[in-house]
Amino acid sequence: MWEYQKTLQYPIRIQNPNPLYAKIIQSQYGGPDGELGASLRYLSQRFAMPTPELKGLLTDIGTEELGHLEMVGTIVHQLTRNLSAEEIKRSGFESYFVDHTNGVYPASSAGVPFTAAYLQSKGDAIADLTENMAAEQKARVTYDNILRLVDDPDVRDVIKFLREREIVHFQRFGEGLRLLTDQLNAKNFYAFTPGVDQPVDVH
Amino acid sequence: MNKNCLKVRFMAIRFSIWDLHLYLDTHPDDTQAKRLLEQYEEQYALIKAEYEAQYGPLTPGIEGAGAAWLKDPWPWDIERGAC
Repeated sequence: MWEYQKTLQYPIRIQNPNPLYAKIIQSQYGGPDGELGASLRYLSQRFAMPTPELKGLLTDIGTEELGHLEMVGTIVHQLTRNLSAEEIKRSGFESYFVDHTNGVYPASSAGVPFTAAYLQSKGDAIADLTENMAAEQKARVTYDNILRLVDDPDVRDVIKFLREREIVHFQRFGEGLRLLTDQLNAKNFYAFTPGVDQPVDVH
Repeated sequence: MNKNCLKVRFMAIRFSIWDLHLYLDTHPDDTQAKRLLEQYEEQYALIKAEYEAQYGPLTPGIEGAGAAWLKDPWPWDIERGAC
């Protein structure tokens, strides 16, 4: 189970609303490499993880991603407050506004609704951990792209924090993969589904 | 410490504990990291009480129910005044 903690992981205080920035950053809420996909990916995959370290790692990173989902939602919310009809039309935000007003909805920047097809839960720890490392890199690139497009220091500060977390998670998943292969037959790591075809030495 | 600075300080300590927790998932026997975690947890206990006195309860529970739990600000609200 989960218990809510009534704070963000990192402070967000955006002074100036900007609907164009909201439309860009929206993608990390419900887009292809966004935080919703990340949390569902890890929290679903963890059931098939064969070792205690990997069960813990996927539970904890999946949980942190839920906190990041909340942070991205907060950014979008703070960027879309007190907008005039003119600002909405001028910024290109009108195509979002007509369906969702100022509500936060899981879709990509281009308006494609979130889909579970963005993620996989394969039941194979090596396949899943390899996907997760790629996913962290793709999210890091998306945050880099946001930093190329957004000037506001209040927004950039938070995006930089989220970008750093992708790098830390990539490192942890890499360590998790190494801990797993250390327990498999060193002559052939990648030809079997750990825990199904070959027993993993659970300590 | 003003209210917003207290909030930032609290979040920083909470985050340090979380990041060490994540590190220990893949380095479960690192005694140095565990000692550092214990130091942060001592600081956390103190600042959590101070934080909750200002902001109300952090998690649902006996204290965290009804008016005290519902009290603004919620995490996505903007508070006036910088740290």
